[in-house]
Amino acid sequence: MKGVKWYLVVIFAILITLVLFALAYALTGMRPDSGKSRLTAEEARAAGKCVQCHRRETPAIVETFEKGPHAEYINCFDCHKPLPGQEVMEHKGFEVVRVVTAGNCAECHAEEYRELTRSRHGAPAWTAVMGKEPFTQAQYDYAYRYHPEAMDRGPNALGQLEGVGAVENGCGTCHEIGAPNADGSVGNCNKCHLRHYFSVEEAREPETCGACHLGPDHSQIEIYEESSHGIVYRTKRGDFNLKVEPARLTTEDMPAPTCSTCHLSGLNGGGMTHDVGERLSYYLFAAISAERPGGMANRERMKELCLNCHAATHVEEFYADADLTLTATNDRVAEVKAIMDGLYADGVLTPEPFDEPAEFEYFDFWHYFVRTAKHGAYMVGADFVQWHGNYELLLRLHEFRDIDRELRGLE
Amino acid sequence: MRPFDYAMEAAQKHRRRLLLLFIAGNFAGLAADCTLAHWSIGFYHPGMYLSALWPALAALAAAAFVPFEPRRFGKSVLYATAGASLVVGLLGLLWHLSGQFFAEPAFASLIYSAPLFGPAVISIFGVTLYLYIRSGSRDVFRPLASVAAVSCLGLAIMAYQDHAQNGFWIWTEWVPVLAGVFSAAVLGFYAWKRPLPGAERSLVLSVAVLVLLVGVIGTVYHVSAFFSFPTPLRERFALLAPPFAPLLYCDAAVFIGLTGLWFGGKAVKRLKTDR
Repeated sequence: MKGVKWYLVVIFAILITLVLFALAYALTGMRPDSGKSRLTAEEARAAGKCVQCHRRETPAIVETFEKGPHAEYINCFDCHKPLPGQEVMEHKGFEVVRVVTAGNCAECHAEEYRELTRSRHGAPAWTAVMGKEPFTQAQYDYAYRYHPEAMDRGPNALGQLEGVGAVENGCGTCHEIGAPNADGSVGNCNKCHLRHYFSVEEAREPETCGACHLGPDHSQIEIYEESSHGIVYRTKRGDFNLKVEPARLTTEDMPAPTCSTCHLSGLNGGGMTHDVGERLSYYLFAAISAERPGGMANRERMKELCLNCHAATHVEEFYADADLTLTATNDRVAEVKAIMDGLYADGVLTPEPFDEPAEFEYFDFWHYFVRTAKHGAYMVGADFVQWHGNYELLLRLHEFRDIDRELRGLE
Repeated sequence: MRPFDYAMEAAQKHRRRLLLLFIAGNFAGLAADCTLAHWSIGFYHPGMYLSALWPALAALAAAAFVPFEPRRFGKSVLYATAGASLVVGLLGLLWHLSGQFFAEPAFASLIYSAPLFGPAVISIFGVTLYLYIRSGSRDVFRPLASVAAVSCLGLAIMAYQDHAQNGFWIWTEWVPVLAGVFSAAVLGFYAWKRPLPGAERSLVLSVAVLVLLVGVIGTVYHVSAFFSFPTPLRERFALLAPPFAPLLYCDAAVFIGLTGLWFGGKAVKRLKTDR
């Protein structure tokens, strides 16, 4: 060894280095694509360590997050950071929250959270199914300020009869948009801004709203599809640019409205909101629709949106016609309700809910056809006003008169 | 005589003292590093406290004997410290493996485990401390050079594991791997050759400079990444490039290597004369 020249040692070291490097490089090359693919700068910034495992374990989460707008600004931990009261999960040395709540979103989107929770997408959505019981006093008090009529109720009678499975997998799936969370917050932003895209584009698509607002009891998506708004959207979808950030949304981006345009977005500099009731004048979901608090001011806000595309006279005529349908429908319900009240008062019907066919008939009457007629009128859905709405109402009104006579033994 | 040799001659009188100071300083640095690394993930395993506390205690033990030559009791304390450091480092290595590799023994699990050779650096300094004690009566050039070579290998493995996690994002991430293997080969070779003539000594010095450069440049990269994200401090330690990692083994390799060089060559002659 004594006679070994220094440059031979260097050559020896280089050879060893090259051999080991070749081995290491080959070993790296043999790894699956998910393991050897390089992080982009955006990935590293957005997901840091998380992406290293989750690209292998749950690649769709990483891919959808990367494509969404959040990847530009925040990392996984910003949302999955536990808040007081949340169930903490030990995960590879990190303390994370598995289920991200509206409380987590509110850390950055405080105003949006306030708007959501004062709307009927907040606590009232959940009390409609589960009653007020699951809410803490603070959650209840907050929601009561805005919706006193919706907070003091028990679990939905129909849901109780149908059972836990029906509530959990049925009604609850949509109504959890206003569910209480362990961290004290209320709501689930993920119902409209689906994980892990969290894109505004997705929330503007009518299909997203239509996931819950469909079917005979709240057939808004079907009405929209029938309406001229929906036809333009379907036939000219390529002209729409739903990715625009909310403050910059114009009629050029949205040549015709989707659900979010009228109910939430700000067009051409107008203000936006996450309170879905802020532009609505009546409680259309109710059997007999009363005006919302500040209903006419809400209507003026909606009209501002309408005027981006329609003449003022057209808007006024539209509302006048829709109000006629509302009044007529309220009258129909009032008549049928009087029949039902009479049957209860006279002991012909038992007080227990949903134990007699007439009660199901009445439920269908207002919950399906009354709502459909009114929603059709205010959302330009002529077929829903007529054949799925008023025709059914007229037919069933006559049937109720027969039911009344039959149950009282008059026939 | 080259400037380095002058420095060596001048410092020779205090060489053992400086080596102990270096060991104490590194244990202190490791205590801070381990504390921050494990604090960022909430000390979720009891062993993490050990990794933070033990280097601090070892640093105190080593520092206590810097001002004077340890006698029987002092040597016993330092032997115990060296042995315990060896054990703590190996335990750390096992614990880092247990996180993922023992659950799923696969190459990918090795890659995604906690830094495997991170804890082993505690063992490296444990061995160095042992060699310090032995250096009073033995020629420790060869084992010190061997430890330096192992440290270079540690640099290569740690850099490979850390950079493989992000798929060797940029080609420069291969540099510490290559430099670590190359330096380990050179130091490993010369660990068996003594004394070192001028050309060989210059080569070893060049390798030390190379490793030091890799460590410093790596630290600049890691630290600049560390400060370029607007996230809370704790998350930076948990999520971003580990700021101290590049120097972890470079520091050990360079200083242990130089110390070994210092204890070797002409210094050895003086050592024999001293006795």
